[in-house]
Amino acid sequence: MIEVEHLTKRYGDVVAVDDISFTVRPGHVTGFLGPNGAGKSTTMRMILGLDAPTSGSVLIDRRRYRQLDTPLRTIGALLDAGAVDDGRTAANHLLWMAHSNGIEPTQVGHVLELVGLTDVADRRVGTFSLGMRQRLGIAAALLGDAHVVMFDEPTNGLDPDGIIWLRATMRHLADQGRTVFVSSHLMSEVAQTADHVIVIGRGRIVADAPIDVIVAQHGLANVYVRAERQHDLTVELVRHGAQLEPTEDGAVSVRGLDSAAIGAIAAAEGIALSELTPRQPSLEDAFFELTHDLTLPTSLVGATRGE
Amino acid sequence: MSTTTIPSPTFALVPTGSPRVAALRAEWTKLRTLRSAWTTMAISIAASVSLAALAASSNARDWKDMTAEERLAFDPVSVSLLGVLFGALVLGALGVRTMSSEYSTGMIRSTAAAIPRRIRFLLSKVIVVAASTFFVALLANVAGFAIGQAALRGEDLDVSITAGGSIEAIVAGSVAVSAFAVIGVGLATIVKRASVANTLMALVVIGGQLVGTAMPPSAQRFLPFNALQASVSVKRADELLSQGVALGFIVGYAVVAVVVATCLLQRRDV
Repeated sequence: MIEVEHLTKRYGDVVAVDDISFTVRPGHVTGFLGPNGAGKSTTMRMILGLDAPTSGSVLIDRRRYRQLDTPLRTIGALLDAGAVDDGRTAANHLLWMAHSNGIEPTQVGHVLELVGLTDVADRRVGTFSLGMRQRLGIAAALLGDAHVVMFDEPTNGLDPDGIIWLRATMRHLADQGRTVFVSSHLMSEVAQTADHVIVIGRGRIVADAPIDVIVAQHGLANVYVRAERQHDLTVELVRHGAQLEPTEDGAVSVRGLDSAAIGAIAAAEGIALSELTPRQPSLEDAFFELTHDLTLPTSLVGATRGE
Repeated sequence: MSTTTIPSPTFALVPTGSPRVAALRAEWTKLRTLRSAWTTMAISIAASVSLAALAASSNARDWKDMTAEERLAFDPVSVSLLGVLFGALVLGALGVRTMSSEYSTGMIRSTAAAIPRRIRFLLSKVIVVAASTFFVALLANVAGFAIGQAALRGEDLDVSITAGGSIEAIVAGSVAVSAFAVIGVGLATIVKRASVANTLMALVVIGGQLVGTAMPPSAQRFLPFNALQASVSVKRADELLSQGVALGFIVGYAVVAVVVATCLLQRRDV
């Protein structure tokens, strides 16, 4: 369990993390979602005691990180694939980590096999691709067989096989009752793995709920509409307060009116509809809804959405 | 990636043992797997021994032309231990690299996550670097002493290793060299960057030679370079501190570097 309480981090005048509180529970994959620069990595660094909070606290299994004698056995973390000395071999990198926490050296071979790096165990990390470095970082996170695992943008550089493997691994770890906390700026990634999502934007928590709840509350339902007299219909829909967005295939995506209302308007105007498809809100929509005004100047929001 | 599943939590997999010992083992594993650490140590030994051989043979050659005063001041022990100057430079650079590589590669984040108590981490590194460089310097000094004395034998200037002060000088010189390596660790922790730390390290070892001439001799004695010379000298000389005091100052400089480094490491984000 990771308990974050009133955590704040300031760099001079810039508030990177602004009084956030949340709890990451065991037995779930919890996604930590936010645009780049929202404060995800800063929060994770504070969880690991790498950065000292300006105020607030973090408890991991009810203890402060710096009080842990063998932290790698309590929380395994992938922070960034760069935290390795290129001159060392993969096996030796894991070996010093194992020694530092009294972990059996045989565990090194085990986690290397787990991430598929056995064949390159004795190669210098400097010769690794980004994907291989990422796997090494994941191996390091699994080294201590910890009850809490935390991954910061773990799929960066991973090949599709690796991504599928990682998702299954995270699921498996959570099913074993472990606490799994994974950050991403890609909602699709989190949608496929996480049960619970914490959304951060501009250093503040903007949502903390099960995925389906977030989608239901913040994802805007829309309806795909295609009509014979498309132009006339759009004019009518706008008059009824709908927000429209053209789609790539020439239909319009309608927000603010449900399909029954759209059908009624079309019938009243004598416009024949060729398509009327209600669409479920996606996590992507929810994420945008939650964070768009936190990341971009308002004038740019319309532009990015093609409105 | 492998389809092997992760075994269920097995938290009692191995006895953990003492975290202090674990940190020492980790730092030792890092040092012995640090790229070019062994080469650096070999270079340090080769350079030290060569310098000892050169200095001893040139002194033996010049002996005939020396004045009575020069002959009186001649210290066969310190001549054969001149290699400590190279040792301090080369192993000082090794000390720098053990820490600067943590910063330049970003590994400091892995380290700080694995050993959250920063004092424990720094002291483990200091102890491992001090112990390893002590043994390397000891090897170099014993070899330098043997070769140096052999070169002096022609003029009958050599002393036995069992003669008064020889062993003390060998050990003191080795301790001094390892203290310089520790200064390297401290400097690299303070400034983070290898280039800056190495420049500072060079200034610490030989900078005194550059500015020393502007200082009164009584003050020059306290410069690291002069203190290093004094630590391997058996004959008392006015311009040098006594062996014990000189060694005390060198170790003191190392302690200051480590204390400053600890304070910064405790406060800084990594």
